[in-house]
Amino acid sequence: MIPQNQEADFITLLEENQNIIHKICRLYTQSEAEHKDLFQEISIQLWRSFDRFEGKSKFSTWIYRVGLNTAITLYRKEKKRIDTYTLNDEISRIELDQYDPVIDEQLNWLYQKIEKFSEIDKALVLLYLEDKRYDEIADTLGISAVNARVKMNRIKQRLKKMIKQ
Amino acid sequence: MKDLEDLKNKWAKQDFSQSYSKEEIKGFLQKKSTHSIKWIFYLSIVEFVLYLSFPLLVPNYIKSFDYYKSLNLFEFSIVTTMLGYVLLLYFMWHFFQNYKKISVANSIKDHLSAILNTRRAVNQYFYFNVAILIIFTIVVLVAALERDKNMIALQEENNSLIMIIFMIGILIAIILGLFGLLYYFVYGRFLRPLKNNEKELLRIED
Repeated sequence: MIPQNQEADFITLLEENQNIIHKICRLYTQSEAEHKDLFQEISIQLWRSFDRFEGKSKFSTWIYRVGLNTAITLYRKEKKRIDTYTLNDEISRIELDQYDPVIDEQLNWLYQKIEKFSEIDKALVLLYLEDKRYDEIADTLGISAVNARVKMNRIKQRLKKMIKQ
Repeated sequence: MKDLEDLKNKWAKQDFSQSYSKEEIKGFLQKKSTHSIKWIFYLSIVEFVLYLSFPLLVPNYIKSFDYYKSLNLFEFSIVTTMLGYVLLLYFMWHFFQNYKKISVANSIKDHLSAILNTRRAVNQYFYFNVAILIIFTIVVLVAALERDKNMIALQEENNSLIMIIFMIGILIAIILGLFGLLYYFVYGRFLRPLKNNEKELLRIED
């Protein structure tokens, strides 16, 4: 039986940090409905593994780990709308244009640009833009610090190139 | 104006139009998870149970040992059957050990590896089983051709032997093909992206 106050504490923490989850959802989904689905799934996964959160790391760091794991490994959206370029794609393009929870034009441009990035590259973009330290990134991804540094440099160059175009 | 630092600043300050209240979040926690690890787990269990109950599904399974005895293959058939069960127990244990390690609280690489290793245990068991099946069939066939009167008689007819070998080959190919399709569509669709992600994560960039 989970104590009532533990659930209340968790909900408060999640409400305060929900922006991180929204960023992950916006990166990994194509519509508002999927966004809500993924948000819900990440919330469930965070709650289920909350007893493993020892408070040594910040709650936000914990969210990156569980959120990305959920988006990359557990959450399988319908791929057809982005894999094929057919009439359906036209429809999904209109849906995507309407999927605009972020007000800023430049950020919308960014989200649309990185839509075709691989799932791992999306994670790298998130961690880069969130200004995480290399050791934290390496820890979240489960790779060596050297590999993390090289990967972040590559993603930074890719973003720079994208901006210049 | 689209400069990287500018983008970073905007990224840090971004607001989302959907912001959920505590009540809504509480509602989310009551919902069931829709993630797909569970059904991979259940399908694997079903597979193991099927392998385990295989003798019950084959008609006259026990009687077939009398036939192996007539071919002087009784010990061989017992050893291969036992080996099949020992392997089954080993891979089931391996499967559960890996399944226990799956946790979203792990790093992304560890999480991917745990899922892939769990499924790998079932696949490896399948490959071992197929190898045993093929070896067993060949050994029984060779012995039958030497000692089974019906088979010896068949050999004297034109092309009958080739037909038998051909039919057995086709049967094994159909069984393997069906399993191949199952693995490709059911597991491949889900596991291939994970495998690619793991590879991409571990790749050292130039």
